[in-house]
Amino acid sequence: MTGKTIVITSGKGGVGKTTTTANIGAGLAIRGHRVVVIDTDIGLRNLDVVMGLENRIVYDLVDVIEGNCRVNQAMIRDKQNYDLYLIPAAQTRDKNCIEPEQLKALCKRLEKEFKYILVDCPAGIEQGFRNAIGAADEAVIVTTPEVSAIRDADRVIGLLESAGLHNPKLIINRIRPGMVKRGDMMDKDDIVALLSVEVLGMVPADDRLIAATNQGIPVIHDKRAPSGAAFSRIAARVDGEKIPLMDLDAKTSLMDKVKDIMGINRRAYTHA
Amino acid sequence: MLDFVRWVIRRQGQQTKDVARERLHLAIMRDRLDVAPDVMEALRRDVISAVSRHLVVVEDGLNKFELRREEESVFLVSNIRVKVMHRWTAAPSTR
Repeated sequence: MTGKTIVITSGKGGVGKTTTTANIGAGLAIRGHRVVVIDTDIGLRNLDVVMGLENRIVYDLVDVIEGNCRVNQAMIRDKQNYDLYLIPAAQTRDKNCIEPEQLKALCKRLEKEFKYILVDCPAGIEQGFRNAIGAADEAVIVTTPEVSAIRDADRVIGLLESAGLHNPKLIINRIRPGMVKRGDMMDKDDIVALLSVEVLGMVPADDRLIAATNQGIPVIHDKRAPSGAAFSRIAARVDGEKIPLMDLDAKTSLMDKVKDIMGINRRAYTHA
Repeated sequence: MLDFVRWVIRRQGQQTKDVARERLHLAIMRDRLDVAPDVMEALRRDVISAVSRHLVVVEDGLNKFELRREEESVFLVSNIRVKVMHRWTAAPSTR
């Protein structure tokens, strides 16, 4: 098998890189692929808690790279899906203890066994970022419709470009369709006009995502969560399926439509 | 009802997303122009070498090479001192 390594990055912290990684990973595994997700945020690991695997860690990424264990000893099998594995970051080390070439060599090895290798990149543009992007064949950028996140995304797109990673794809996270409708939040077209990149998907702000993450279950497993449905479609697009982007403000009930006309609709979101 | 009143008021003024987009546009343009010194130097060398094919360039402290921002536009401003023309530059093109 020849797999593909995809880095999930953003520049700015707290926009949802780790949640996105966990959900795309789960989504690709649900689609029947063998997937490994790697947390490269050494010293500040979180992909393990988001996936609910924090109690199963024995070895980590640095152990693998330093040769303290075999690769499969550090791979933790997901609870929901047996085709999904996590390599957690080390918690007591720092980003400078690995080199881009080492991570790249590891990913190339994993590509023989797995269809997709997702690299969760740390925030920032320093050593940890360079480690993560050095291994990747493709890049996904996560942003939110806020000025700070979009500005950082633009910087990161430039840095990816100069590192030879062309045509990164954009995920716009935490969209609030009600605010977009009122003109208080930038929409897809505004963001595309600024960044000029292809949009891979849009994820609505969703309380159910927070509730799912509280339990260590990727929200993609919650059939009623709008954000989970959005991540399913994103995973399908990553997998090469051509699915058109959906309007985020598709109304569900007649009452919603009535409220909308009156301009008093508070919960105006469903799917992305 | 309060929402409705706010909505009516908002209709009159500018939407905040337009403010965000405008500010971001300028900030991003500025960021993209913050060219690293080594990139700028490489560009300068390329321009000098291109000019040198037609004119004799004098490299001294009087030369200028910079990106200048003026409102909505950006200019690459360059002063390159040249000594004399090569003979073939003054001659009419044979093509």
